[in-house]
Amino acid sequence: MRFIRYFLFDLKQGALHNKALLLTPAAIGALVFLDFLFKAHRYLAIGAIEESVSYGDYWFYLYGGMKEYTPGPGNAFSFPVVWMLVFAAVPFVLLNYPFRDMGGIGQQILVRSRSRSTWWLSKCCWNFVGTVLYHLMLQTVGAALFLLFGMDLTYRIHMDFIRVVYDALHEELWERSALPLAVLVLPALVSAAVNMLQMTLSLFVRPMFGFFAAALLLLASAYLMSPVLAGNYAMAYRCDWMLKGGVTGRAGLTAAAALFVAAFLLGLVRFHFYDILEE
Amino acid sequence: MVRIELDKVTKRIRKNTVLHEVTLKMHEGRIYGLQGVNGSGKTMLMRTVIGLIRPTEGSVSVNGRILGRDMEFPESIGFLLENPAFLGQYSGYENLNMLAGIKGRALTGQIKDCIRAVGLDPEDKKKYRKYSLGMKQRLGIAAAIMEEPDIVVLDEPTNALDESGVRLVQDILRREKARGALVILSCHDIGILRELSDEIFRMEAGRVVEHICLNDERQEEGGDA
Repeated sequence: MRFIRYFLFDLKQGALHNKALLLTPAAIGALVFLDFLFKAHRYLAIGAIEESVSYGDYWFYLYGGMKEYTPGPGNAFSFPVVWMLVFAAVPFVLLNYPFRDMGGIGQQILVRSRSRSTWWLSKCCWNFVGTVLYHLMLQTVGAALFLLFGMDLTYRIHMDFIRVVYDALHEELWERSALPLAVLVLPALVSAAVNMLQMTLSLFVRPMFGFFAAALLLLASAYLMSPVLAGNYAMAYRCDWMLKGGVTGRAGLTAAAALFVAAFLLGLVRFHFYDILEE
Repeated sequence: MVRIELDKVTKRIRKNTVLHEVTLKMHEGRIYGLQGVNGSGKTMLMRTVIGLIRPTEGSVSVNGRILGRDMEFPESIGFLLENPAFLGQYSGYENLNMLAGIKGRALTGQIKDCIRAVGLDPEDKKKYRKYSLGMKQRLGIAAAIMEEPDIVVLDEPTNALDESGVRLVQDILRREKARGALVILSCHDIGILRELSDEIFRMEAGRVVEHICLNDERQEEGGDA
C-alpha cells in the first residue's frame, strides 16, 4: 500500500507533470519526422527508392542506429545523430527528478514512509515507466504526423529505403517486409536499462556524471559492435533479425534485464547508506 | 517516552569531518537548543537524528534502537530543515493533506487546526508557489507538527518570519514541549534560543564544545556531552 502511494506520487510528479519528459520526445519525434520525410522525398525523386515510405520505415529511421563501424584509414566514424538524440535525450530528461525529490518534499515523504527501499523501488518503477512513456510519445507524434500527411501508417518496411539510409550492401541484410513485436520493444527495454544504470551511478557520482557515463556507453556501442555493449541491442539495424551476423534479440532481452536488475540491486544497497543532503 | 542518544557520532563527507565524536542524550518533554555559527554542524546533527545521513562512526539510537541498523528512520518525527519545500501547484492544505496521507495519522480537522495554528488559512486556495517566504516557513512548521510527533526537529524556524510569526513559533514550541515532545531547535537568535531551550549544546567545527543546562528539571538524566 505504502509503495503504491509512493509510486503514484512519483508517476504524477516525475512523469505526468514532467513537461520535459513529454515535450522532448514530441519535439524530437517531429524533427526526425521532417528529416525522414525530406530524405524519403529526395530518394523517391532521384529513383533511389521505388515507392512511398511507411510508418515502419520512420520507426526504423528512429531506432536503426548505424551499420557496423570498421576503424581504418579513410573511414571516419560518422556519429549516428538521430539514434544518439533519441537515446541520450531520455536519460537527460529523467536525470534530475529523483534528486530534486530527495531534496524537496520527497524528503518529508521518505522519512514518513520510514523506508529507503520503498523510495528506491518506486524510483526504479518510475524510471521504467518514464522511459516507456518517452518512447511512446516519440512514436505517437510520428504516427500523428503520418496521419496528418496522409501517409501509410503500417509497420511495413522498405528494404530499398533502409539500404540507402544505412549505406548497406545487398548481401548484408535479410529481406524483411514488416517489423515484428520483439524488434519493436527491444530498444525501449535497453533504453530503460541504460537509464537505470544512470540513476544508480548518480548515487555514486554527481547526476551529470551519471548522464555522461550513460552517453558514453551509447557512444561506445555505436563505435563498436559488441554483445557486451548494451546499446547495440537498441539498434534495430544491428539485430540479427535484420543484419546477417548481428546481435541476437534474445541476448538483447537478457542483457537489458540483467543490466536493469543489477543496477536496481546495486542502487538498493547504495541508497541504504546514501547521505541525503541539500546540495 | 522518547530518548535519543548519540554515541561518539563522527561524520565525514568528502574528507571533511562535519561531526566529531558527538555524544549526547535527549529526552521527551524538553527543548534542546543547538547554538553555533554557520558550518558548526547543527544541521548535520539534525540530519543525523532524522536518519537522513548515516554516521561514519558511532551511532544514533532512538528508544534504544539504532538508526540505520534497527530502523531506517525514527518512528514518530516531524522536521523542518533549511528551506521548506512543497509542491508548487498545490495549496498549503493540499500539500499537508498529501503528506498526512502517508501515515494516515493526522485527520482533516487536525491538519486545518495546525495550519491555523501557524497563522495561515486552511481554506486559502492560493498555490504554494505564490506563497511569500514567511508563509512557506509557516507551512513548513505546520508540516513538522501536524501529526503530533514524538520528536520535532526545527532548523531555524524563525527565518523569514516577522515579529508576530516569531511569537507564534515560540508559543507552538512551548505547546509541543507541554505535550511531551522532544524538540531539537536551532536558531541564530541567541535570545530566543535561550528563552525556549531547557538545554543548549554549543557547537564549533562539528564538536559539542559546551552543554548549558537552563532548566534543571530532569537534569540528572540530561545530556553528558
